[in-house]
Amino acid sequence: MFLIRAIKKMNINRHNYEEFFLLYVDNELSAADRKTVEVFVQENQDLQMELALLQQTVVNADDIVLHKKDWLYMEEDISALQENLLLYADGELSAADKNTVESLLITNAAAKTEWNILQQTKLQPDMAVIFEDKALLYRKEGGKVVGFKWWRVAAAAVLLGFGLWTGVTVYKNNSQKGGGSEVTVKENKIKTQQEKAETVADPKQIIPTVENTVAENSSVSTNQQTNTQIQPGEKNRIAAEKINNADNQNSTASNPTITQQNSNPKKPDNNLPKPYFENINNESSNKNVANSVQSENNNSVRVSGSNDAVIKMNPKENKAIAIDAGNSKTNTNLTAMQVVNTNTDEGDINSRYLNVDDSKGKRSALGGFIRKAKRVLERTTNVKTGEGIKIAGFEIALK
Amino acid sequence: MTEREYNECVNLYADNVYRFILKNLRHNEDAKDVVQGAFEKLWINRAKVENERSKSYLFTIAYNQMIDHIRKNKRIVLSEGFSENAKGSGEQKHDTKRILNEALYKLSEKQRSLVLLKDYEGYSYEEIGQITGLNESQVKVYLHRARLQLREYIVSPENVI
Repeated sequence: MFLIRAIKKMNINRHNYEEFFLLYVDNELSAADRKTVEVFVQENQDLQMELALLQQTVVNADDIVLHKKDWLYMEEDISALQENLLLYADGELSAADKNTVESLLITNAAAKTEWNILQQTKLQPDMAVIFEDKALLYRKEGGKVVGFKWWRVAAAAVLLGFGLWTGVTVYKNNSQKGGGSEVTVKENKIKTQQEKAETVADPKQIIPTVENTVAENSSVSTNQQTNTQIQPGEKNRIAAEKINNADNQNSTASNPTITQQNSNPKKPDNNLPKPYFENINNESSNKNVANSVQSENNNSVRVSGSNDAVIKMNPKENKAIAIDAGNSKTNTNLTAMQVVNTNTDEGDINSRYLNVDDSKGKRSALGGFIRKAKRVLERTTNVKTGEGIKIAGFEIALK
Repeated sequence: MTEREYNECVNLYADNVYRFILKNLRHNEDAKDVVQGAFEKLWINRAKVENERSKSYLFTIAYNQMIDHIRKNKRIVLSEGFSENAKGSGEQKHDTKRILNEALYKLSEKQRSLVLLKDYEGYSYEEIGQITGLNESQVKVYLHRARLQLREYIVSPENVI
């Protein structure tokens, strides 16, 4: 409108006539303006043709006529009766309308006929059509997922760590007691064991043989000391005391030969020489654990001239052991596994150890507690345990 | 809805849903796929679905999946399996039933679904509206027109009983 007013203010001339012509063709000008345009065209005959051309561009749709309109005519396809009957059939009527329809069906024959026809349009489900693969549809819920809290993980880690530490500690203690190639046993313990042996043994003839815990060991070493006859193969109930306790026995079962010799000059109960030695010879793999070694077999004997009984053994090579028996009066026979030493000072011997670090031989309080607990468990459950760690009915093998 | 309730739904409604879908699609395997998809969705959303509304929920899902299936395939081929199934299932003893089935397949998919939901399952207009996403008035109009179309078909001279 603003544009039209602007043009309206301007007079039509040969420079702006095109815009007026377009507005004229589009019928956008007022009657006065249209008249102005028509006057202008009459005054300028050369522009009359141009206006006619613009007028021809207008599309005229008058020739398009829809002749047949029947298919568009609509009529009410559902009568009131039909609708009521359909609603009645679908059960969508109120109680009052329902009664009305029912009474109508009784009285009106046309309604009854229509009702019968509509009744036939009612579909009946085919019950034989079933979904056979119901197994595909059944579902089962999975187990509940329980979140694992961090503190539970931490507690489990602590318990596991404690268990490992305990196991390693026990294993180390057992290794120190029974393991290794060289073992030292204190003299006073051996002394008490020998006292026991003397009370049982024949006073006339003490035959200290070595009880070998390994069954396949056929060769038994013997040692004759101060006219003591040693009978190989004869079982001695006296001299064969195992060191320490049952654990130690178990641990020494697989260890190399341990030969212990002790002297007890304070026990002159009889005139016979005392078999002051104790033997633990338990290397199962050693086929020739205790070979008798004659005194002339000097290649395995080394005399050092001291009172100490030092036993050095190499279990791998099964060699004879350097034996010091310098002060022994009647030391004639040496065995590979047994060393006889006499007349040794008790205090001196007690202070001796055989190549074993003193600190390693000590038992920790925790280890002792665990061993006690293990024994109690063994007694109460009557379960034989091996060398492993037994925790809550499970035994963990250490080897 | 619990696991037990869901599996009970399978026992109760799997046949109904399958029948409804099969009658619309006329294809055995496609109908099974739709039913399986509907129950899969029910299982996933079992926590949100009340047991009392599980049937209408199932039909709603199945209907929507069926519409999607029809739109994707655009054409429904009467498979041999369905023909055998229909033949074996119900030995159409009466011409009325055969004619009515023919008339049913002349309806639009929407009209056919409404008729089946009404006749097979006995749903109300409101329930049908909830299942199909129509309002009650639309259901009424579509259903009445469909019914009259069926009527016209069975009373036509070539199908006069």
